Order: sequence, then structure tokens, then C-alpha cells
Amino acid sequence: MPSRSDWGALRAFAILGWRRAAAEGLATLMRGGLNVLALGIFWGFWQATPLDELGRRDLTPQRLIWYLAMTEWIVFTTGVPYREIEEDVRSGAIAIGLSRPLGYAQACLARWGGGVAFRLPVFAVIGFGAALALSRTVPLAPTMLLTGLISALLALTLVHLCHLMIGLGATWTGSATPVHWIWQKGLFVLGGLIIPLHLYPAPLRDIAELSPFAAMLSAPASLALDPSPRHAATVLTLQSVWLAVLAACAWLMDRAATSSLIERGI
Amino acid sequence: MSYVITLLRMSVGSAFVRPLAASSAVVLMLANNLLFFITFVIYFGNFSSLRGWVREDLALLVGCTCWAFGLAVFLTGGIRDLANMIASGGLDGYLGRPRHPLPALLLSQSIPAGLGDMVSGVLFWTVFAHRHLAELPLLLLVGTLGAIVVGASATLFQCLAFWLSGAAVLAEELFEMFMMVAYYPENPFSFAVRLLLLTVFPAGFVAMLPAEAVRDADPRKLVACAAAALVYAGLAWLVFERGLRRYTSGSRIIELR
Repeated sequence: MPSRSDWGALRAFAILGWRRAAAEGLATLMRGGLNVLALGIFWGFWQATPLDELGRRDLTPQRLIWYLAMTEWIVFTTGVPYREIEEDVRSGAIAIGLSRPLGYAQACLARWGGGVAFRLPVFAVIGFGAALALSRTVPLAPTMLLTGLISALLALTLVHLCHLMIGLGATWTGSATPVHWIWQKGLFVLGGLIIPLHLYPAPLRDIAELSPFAAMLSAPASLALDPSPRHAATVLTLQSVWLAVLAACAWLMDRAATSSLIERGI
Repeated sequence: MSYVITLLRMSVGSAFVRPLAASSAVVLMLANNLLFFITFVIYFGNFSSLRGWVREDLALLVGCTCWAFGLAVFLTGGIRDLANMIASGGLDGYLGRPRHPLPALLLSQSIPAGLGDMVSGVLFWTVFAHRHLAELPLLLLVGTLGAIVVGASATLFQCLAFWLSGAAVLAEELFEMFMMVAYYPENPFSFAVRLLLLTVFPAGFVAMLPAEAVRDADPRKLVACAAAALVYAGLAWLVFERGLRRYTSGSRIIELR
């Protein structure tokens, strides 16, 4: 359990993360533009798709664009935070982080949390605004909005725990970028970034649904396709299980990376 | 020409100074592209076509994008760092040389992962798009024309640093946006969007038009690709020249001495 001074330090790092995110005005705006562009591309894409071939009435371009708006919301809010750790390892600045009373990983997560707190509403306005303008519908009932937000926050926590582990991997490999490429494509494909998982062929769908990637993207976005309370409960349970698993993995990896850096140096 | 070849030899050689890291970057980029394509395999597993385009056409398009992007960053990796060089005064060292600084800047580094993209391109064309080996010279030609457009567009984005402070992030974001658009089929779009992608934001010349030139065996589209490569390369050169007139030294020459 963090002490009172630890809480103070975590708060300070979160504020630092918020301020840094707020200072990236132009970059945030550009990412917002990229988000809108992606939604525009796939709006055209889904409208040109012969969806009637599926024989399902629930899959419309409107619902699919909201599904994408949800997955893109998580992707754009996250950015590529693992690069900060990679850069710290490369430049040796991680030594300063390790000498602080607050753990390096905790400080990173707090700083990223502050950044997320800034970007989450910004990209919600941009992405959902674009989805609304394109589809002229909102598939989520107002009572489910809170569930959607909780699910998105759980998804973002899972994604950031993965970024923490990818970044810490640079302690051994020097560069975490190639691992990130593979992880990112795993997230896009097994997480169902563009296409909902239930459209996947049977063996791949089973693998994807059992993977943590589904809890990061498909689970919260599937609320746009099935907003029933029963489905919401399944989604939140799945995400909570993966949160416990990934938090334990991140804790073990942080300990291993710290020991390696202390014993072996940078 | 011998100057360019010497620069190329040096930058490619330096990219493979750490052969294990470079080779793993090549292999992982190849895996990265194959994983990306799974999305389209799933799509065409559910739907018969996308406005007349089938999986093989998408493989042709993705192959063109991979080859164009890979070739551009493998040979002219300096395109990703131009804005930083301008902002930090790093041009000083290049301006002191007897040759024009742009080729040396573009050829200042080679990104080995680009080789993985190039291999992916050939794989997409021959294995997934079922294109005959006899078509490979044409595919390499259209892909290379696309690479020139990628290089020219990246240079144009990076040259914003001559006029805007903090343009490095903006240039990178614009380039990512450009490549993202190039990766997806543009045939579902309206005439206005296609026009935009063939003029101010020329992502259409990276893969869409090259893929259509091969798919439809249309020599007019091939000529359009070649003309676009020439026009955008010339434009990049002109904008860089204009930018140089505004460039203020970062006094890095003192560091060099």
C-alpha cells in the first residue's frame, strides 16, 4: 500500500503528465485529424461493403463506425508511451528514476495516467463527434454511457500495463520498437480494431477472444454493437480478470528489470 | 552519380553495423506487414468484394505501399529526420560541402526495417496477389515511382520546419497520416476525395494509381504515376530551395571545427 508521501508523489507525476499532454497542442490536434480521417475512410469502407451478405440486421455501417470510434478512442488516447522508457534506457536517464523513493514503474504509470486524463475527453469529443456527424446516430443508451466509460478506462489501464512491459523490455534488448510493432499488430488483429471479433473465422475468433487484446479493444467497443446489461457484465468481468493477470506480470517484469539494471548497469 | 552511390553505400553500410539488430528489424517488419494483412483476409472471408476489388487486388495495393515506403526509408532514411536537422541547425555541416545539401541529407541514414517492407511488397505481389513473375519488372517500376512520391511528400512535410517552429512533430504526424491513407483502398471514395488524394495530399500516387495501372493494364495510369513522381520530386526540391533562403545558421559549424 503506498504511503501518504507516495500518494503525493504519484499526484505530482500525474499533474506532470497532464501538463505535458496539454502542451502538445498541435500534435494532439494532428492526431485528432488522423482519427477523423480514419473514421472517414472506414465510413466509406463500410458503406461500400455488401453487409447484406452476412444476413444480419444488427450490423449496419452506423453501428460499425461507432465500434471503430470506440477502438480508435483507446488507441489515440494511448499514443506510444513505451518510447519514454526506451529513451530513458537509451540515454541512461532511467538511473535518475531508479534513485527516487517512488518506484520507476509507478512514476511512469502515474505520469501516463495524467496524460490519459487530458487526452481521453479531447479524443472523445473529436472521435465521437466525427462518428455522430457521419452516422447521425448514437448506438449506446444513455444509461450505458457510464459502463462504456468504465470499460474504456479498464482497457486503457491494460494497454498502459503492456506499454510498461514493452518499454522495460528495452533494458535487455536496447530497443523495444520491433516488439512494439508485433504487439501493436496483435492488438489490431486479435483486439478487433477494425472488424468485430464475431466476424472472424472460428479458430481465430476463439484465439482472439481468449487473448488479452480482446479485453483492450473489442470488449469496450462491442458495447456499441450489443449494449445489453448482460453483455456489459461479461465485458467488465473479462477486463477485471486480465487486469489482475497483467498487473502481476508488469510487477514481476519491473522487479526483474530493476534488478538487472542495478546488478548489470545500463 | 558516383557521389550518390558513395553516399548510399555508406548509409546502407552503417545501417548494418549491428547485423543482428538490423536483421531482426527486417524480419519483424515482414511479420508486422503479414499480421496487418490478416484484417483484409478476414474481411474478404466475410464479404465477396469491395466495390469490385477482391483480396488479390488489396494484396497488390498493400504490396505497392510496402515497396514504396520500404524503398524510400531504406535508401533515403534521412527524410524522417530533416525537420529536426533544420530546427537544430544541423544543416550547417551540409551547407559547407561543395555539393547540394539535399541528396546528402536524404541519404544520411538508412532504416534497415525498410528492407523488410520491400521483401513484404514482393511477397504480397507474388504470393497473395497471384501476380506472375513476368509482371515483377512492372510492379517494381510502379512501386519505385510510388517510393519517389513517398520521399518527395516526406521532404515537403519536413520542410515545414523552415517556416514553422516545432514542425518536427507535425511533419511526422502528417507523414503517418499520409502512409495510413496509402494503405487502404480508395475505390469506395467519391471523386472529390480521390481528387484530393491525387493533388494536395498525393497518397493516391503511392499505391492506388500504381495498383490500378497494373490491375487494369492501363499505360495512361503508368504515365500518370511517372509524371507524378517527377512533379512531386521537383516540387520537393523547389520547396527545399525556398526554405534554404530562410534558413538561419545554428552555428553548428563551430562544433564541427
